[in-house]
Amino acid sequence: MGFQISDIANNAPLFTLVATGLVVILLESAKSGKPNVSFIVSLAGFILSGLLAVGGLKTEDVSFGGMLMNGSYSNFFAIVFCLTGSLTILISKSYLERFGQFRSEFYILVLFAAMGMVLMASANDLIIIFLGIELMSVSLYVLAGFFRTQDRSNESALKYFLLGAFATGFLLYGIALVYGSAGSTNFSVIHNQAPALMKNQPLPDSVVQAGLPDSVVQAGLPDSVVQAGLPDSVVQAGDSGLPAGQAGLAGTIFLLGLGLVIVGLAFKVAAAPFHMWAPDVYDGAPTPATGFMATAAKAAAFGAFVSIAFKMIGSTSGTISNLLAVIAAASMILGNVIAISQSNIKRMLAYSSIAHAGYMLSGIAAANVEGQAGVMYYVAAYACMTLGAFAIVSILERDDAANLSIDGYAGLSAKHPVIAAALALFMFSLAGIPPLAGFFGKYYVFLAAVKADMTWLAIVGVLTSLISAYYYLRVVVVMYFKEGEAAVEGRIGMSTVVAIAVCAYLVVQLGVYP
Amino acid sequence: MDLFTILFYVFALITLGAACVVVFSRHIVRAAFALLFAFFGVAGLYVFLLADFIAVTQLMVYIGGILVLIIFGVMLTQKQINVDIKTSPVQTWPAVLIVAALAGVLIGMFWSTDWARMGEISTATTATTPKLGEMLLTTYVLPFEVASVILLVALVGSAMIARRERNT
Amino acid sequence: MITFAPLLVLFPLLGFLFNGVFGWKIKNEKLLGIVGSGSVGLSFILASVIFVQMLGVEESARKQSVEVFTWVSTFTGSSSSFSASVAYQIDQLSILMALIVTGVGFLIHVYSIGYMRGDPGFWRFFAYLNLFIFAMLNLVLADNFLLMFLGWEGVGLCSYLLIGFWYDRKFDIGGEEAGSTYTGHAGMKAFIVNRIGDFGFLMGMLLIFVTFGSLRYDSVFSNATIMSVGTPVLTWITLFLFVGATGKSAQIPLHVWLPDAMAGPTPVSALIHAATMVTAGVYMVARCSILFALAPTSMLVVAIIGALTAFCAATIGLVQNDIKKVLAYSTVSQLGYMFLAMGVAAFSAGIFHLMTHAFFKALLFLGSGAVIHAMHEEQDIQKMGGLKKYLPITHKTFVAGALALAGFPLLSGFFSKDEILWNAFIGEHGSPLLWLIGATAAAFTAFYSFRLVTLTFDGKERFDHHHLHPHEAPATMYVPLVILAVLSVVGGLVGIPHVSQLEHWLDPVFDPAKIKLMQTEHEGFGLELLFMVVSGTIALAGIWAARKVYLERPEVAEQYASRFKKLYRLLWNKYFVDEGYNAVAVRPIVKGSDFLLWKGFDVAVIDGALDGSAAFVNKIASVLRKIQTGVAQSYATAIVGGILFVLTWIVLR
Repeated sequence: MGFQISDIANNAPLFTLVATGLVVILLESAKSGKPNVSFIVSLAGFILSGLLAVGGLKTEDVSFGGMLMNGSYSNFFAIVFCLTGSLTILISKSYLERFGQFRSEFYILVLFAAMGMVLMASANDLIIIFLGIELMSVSLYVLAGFFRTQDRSNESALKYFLLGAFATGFLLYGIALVYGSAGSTNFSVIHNQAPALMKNQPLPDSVVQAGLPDSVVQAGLPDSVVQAGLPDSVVQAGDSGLPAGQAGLAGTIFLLGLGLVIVGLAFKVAAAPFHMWAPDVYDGAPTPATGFMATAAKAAAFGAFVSIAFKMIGSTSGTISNLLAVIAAASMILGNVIAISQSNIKRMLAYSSIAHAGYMLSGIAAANVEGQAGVMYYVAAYACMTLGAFAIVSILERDDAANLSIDGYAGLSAKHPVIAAALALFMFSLAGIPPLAGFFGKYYVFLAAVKADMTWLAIVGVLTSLISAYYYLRVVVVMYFKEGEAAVEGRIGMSTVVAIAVCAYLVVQLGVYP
Repeated sequence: MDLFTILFYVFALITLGAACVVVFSRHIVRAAFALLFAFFGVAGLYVFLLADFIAVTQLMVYIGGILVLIIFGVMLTQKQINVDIKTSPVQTWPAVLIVAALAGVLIGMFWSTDWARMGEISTATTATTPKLGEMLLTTYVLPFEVASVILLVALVGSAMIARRERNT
Repeated sequence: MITFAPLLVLFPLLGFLFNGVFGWKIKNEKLLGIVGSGSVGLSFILASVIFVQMLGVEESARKQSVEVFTWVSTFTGSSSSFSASVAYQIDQLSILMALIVTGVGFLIHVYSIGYMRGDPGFWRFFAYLNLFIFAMLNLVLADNFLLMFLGWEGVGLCSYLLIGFWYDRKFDIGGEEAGSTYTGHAGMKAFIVNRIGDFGFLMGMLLIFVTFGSLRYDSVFSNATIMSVGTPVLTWITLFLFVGATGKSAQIPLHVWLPDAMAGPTPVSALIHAATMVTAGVYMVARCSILFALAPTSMLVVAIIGALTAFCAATIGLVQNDIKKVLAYSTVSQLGYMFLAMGVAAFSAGIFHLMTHAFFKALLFLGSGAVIHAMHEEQDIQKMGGLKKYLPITHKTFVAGALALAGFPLLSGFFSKDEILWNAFIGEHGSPLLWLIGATAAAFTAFYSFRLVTLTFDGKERFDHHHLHPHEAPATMYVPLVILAVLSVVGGLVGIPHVSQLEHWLDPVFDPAKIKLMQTEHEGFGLELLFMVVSGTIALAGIWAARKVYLERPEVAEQYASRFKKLYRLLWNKYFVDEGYNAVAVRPIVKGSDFLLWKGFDVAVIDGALDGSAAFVNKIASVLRKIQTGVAQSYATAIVGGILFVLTWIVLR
């Protein structure tokens, strides 16, 4: 119980991020106005944390009394977050400088957001999921509004905050319901409870005897909670309160709670119909922050999603799977179809990210091993290509949202062949053309869907990705086949170029040798 | 009717009365202060539920924190202090529906509860606060610390947003 | 030697890397050209060596597979995990395809050195061409479906890049909705239509994996042999695969992209859109012959689509005036023949026609390229005529190609087409009706090919003498023409029924399918001979009619055109398929996205700060107001709606 020294070692990536964040805050307060130092320190922190995560890939363990799960899964995601985090930092430098907003807070917020993400992916307890989401979201709200003098940025932050808080409320409510019915917030305990809860649901009697509080006590984890008196009323209601006729209620409440938790996470991944915030927020936020939101935040939400779907409920519930499949299909259709008519590239990418959330969700809906692996692969692939695309958008963006229309990219290939080629690469990968990373991601999740007897979902997926080819290729066509002035003023920041190169390399590498 | 029951009704009355004032008062400062009594009454009710920790939290957070913030907010938004705000009904029907549904649920709950068995609920008064504190530093040390980081981030963020522009 | 098979694929890749990475710096076209064609030439030599070596070993040892590295494996390591290797399978079919691809490809590369001279995108062109060869070799040599799919997509991508190569040029799509469009759009159209085909391929592949648990040809096909005929899942798999094939090989109803693809440089049309890439669908069906053999329904579909395509495209070819358009529809039509062959289980005949077609169609395209070159980019055959005086070599080779295409007796096209028609008539899955459609199309083929020859090279000179002085192409251009002409003339000899060896060479590949079909060798040599005579007569009649009409009485053609005005309009507009697609699919989707979904959902936002008109939102106050009165609330409403949906779903499950 409680805290052990090994907990620190197990969670080295996490603590590295916290420590770096604190160091940057201290540095900033000591030497105000030297964001260059913060830049380097944050970057180093991310890289160190990422390396530690690589080192931790092999050991499987739990820490903090079962609060966190450490191992290949959590560390895989930690690597993704550190990668996207450091790339975001690289991209942001010249972008922020150009807009005169090069300040240390950006890095502090990115670091803490990444910490929240790591928590989400390694969580083994709903409380940690919730705290991770909050930590990440609070940072992102501020990042979205980082350009305080820009109305667009403010609008973006405010909308994100209001709707985010709204969705978090439902998430929390869902957690409460799950706790109320299963008697614990711990995944392992719930995992043991879930079959009983779900099986008993249609039967009218004896859920209670199937023993909520008993097995909780046996599972040994939160017995002190029970005694501590906080959930007295809950436990006793379960114990004695419910007459036999209402016994089936526990299963329903459990599922309703799960449903609300899924709603909260679906909001974070911007899956339809909880997607509406995404285009506005993505569009208004500073481009590097948008890239971070669209990739790392989404990856984190999927990290939590996969944990909940696989660690918590296992693959026992057809209801939840079908629900996820419907959400996935809706996201793929809405995202791809609406993206066609977008003329602003950030909005186009926002809708595209909604569609990609749908693809990843279909992997989760499949609820099999292939699905889990597919989602993990997809998350990494998607992060690289989308972040790369946003990096290029950030290069070309001018003050006041100028130069964000897709038509503004006309003639880019003539002026900056390398950048155009990189963007074309990302677009091809997003469209799912082999041998790039995007193709295999889609392939894995569709395979998983087909294996789970959800062929219809795979067909929807393939058909919608067909549609998606249209709008991704339009960018390529405009860049290559249209005359125009796509000007990049001044020098392109070296760090951004490095970030783009890393993304491009990974997109190819993940595709050719996944 | 023992002292226990009398006190319960007193607190219930305070809560309900204050809540009514909050809703019906046209004077914003008055409404804010009425809210204080409503919170206070709820805190008393918590005590009756043997939830001493929550009662104290209610006092500290809601009265000490949130309410003061609200009153500050009201006072800082100048020119509004003595203005009667218009409270005309908006979206009446949705509101009626929701209120009716909520009332239905509560009344249903009231009738379906087996009040006779309530006596079985333990009334042993153990102080929950020490236990909670202990747990926050053992089992739940991680959430506890993470929460502190969230607060730190919120602090950094709000400082950043609120700060005056340095150069421009 | 077979262990060196990966080198076959590697050479073009190296060529691509060289031209692609260093090309823009190197101004020396000769070097670029030599590297570009040389890499393909090396592959050809290697393929030939392997081929010769295969001849020397006994039949069972001819099929080998070389693994390069494990490409994909799921990292969960579960028992059902999925893996695929980059591995190449050399067998009778794939080496034949490799020979065609590298051989014809090499000639076209050489030709391109002359054709693309002085073009600013010279290096880009060769880089793309090499990349194409690389992808195509992956497609034909792969030993699993995934690698094949990689090649499949790769050739599509190259095709797209090369169609839009001259992206700034205008291009006439023809038909009544004429007017110009940019070649870039033609490329895009090709790509999107191909994506529909890819959807089929991908679904087929997923189903194959789910059914057989592997994507390797070996395990899939050997597992398939123990399944019974008519298993539903196999029908689905083959139908999906066939959708893929129709997309890549431009069969009805996905043929619309190929004629537009002629917007690309002519060598590209020759290489990609005639000789190699478009035959990928045929190759794929032949490769999966065992699967198709087990799905009679799919076989029937393939045969019918093939026959219809052969017929319809031939009729369209009768009236087109753009030299490359005629050839394009001719290609579609000939591909139809190949699918007809597949559908009636005459796999060897189909592959044989694929080979001869590669020779003569590449020849015709390259010849047309020489003509276009000489005429300074004029492509309208009504504005040519009498060119044989100026372009003697081109003329002779072009006539050779046209004769082969028309099926002139004893030339390559004759044997292959005849064998298909014979099988369509007599084969297990054949029927006299299929034969009739095919034979009619053959007559049309002969007619349009000589209409093309006559209008281009004979008769009056209808071009402007003052501005145009046609001249013969340089040696790099006409040498490949001559070689291809020779191949077109004699190429058929390898496949003469009962005499030559091609059929038996391919037998091991198709035997499993044939066993399933319980196909017997058809006796009746006399009947077959009769059919050959009939085919020859049809070809000669078509050629004669075309010569007669266009050489002696050109007015007859116009009379017919005006007499059957409606029919003529139908053909001229290519059966209005493009227009139909526009009306049924393209416009509704674009409109639907625009008006219904986007404006319906996001209407309040479009005119905001988002399109750069910041005037709408100037102050935070107004932002706040906007949020409070409109958008954010409606978003929240959507969220609540979603939550209600979720909860209802769970309660009512």
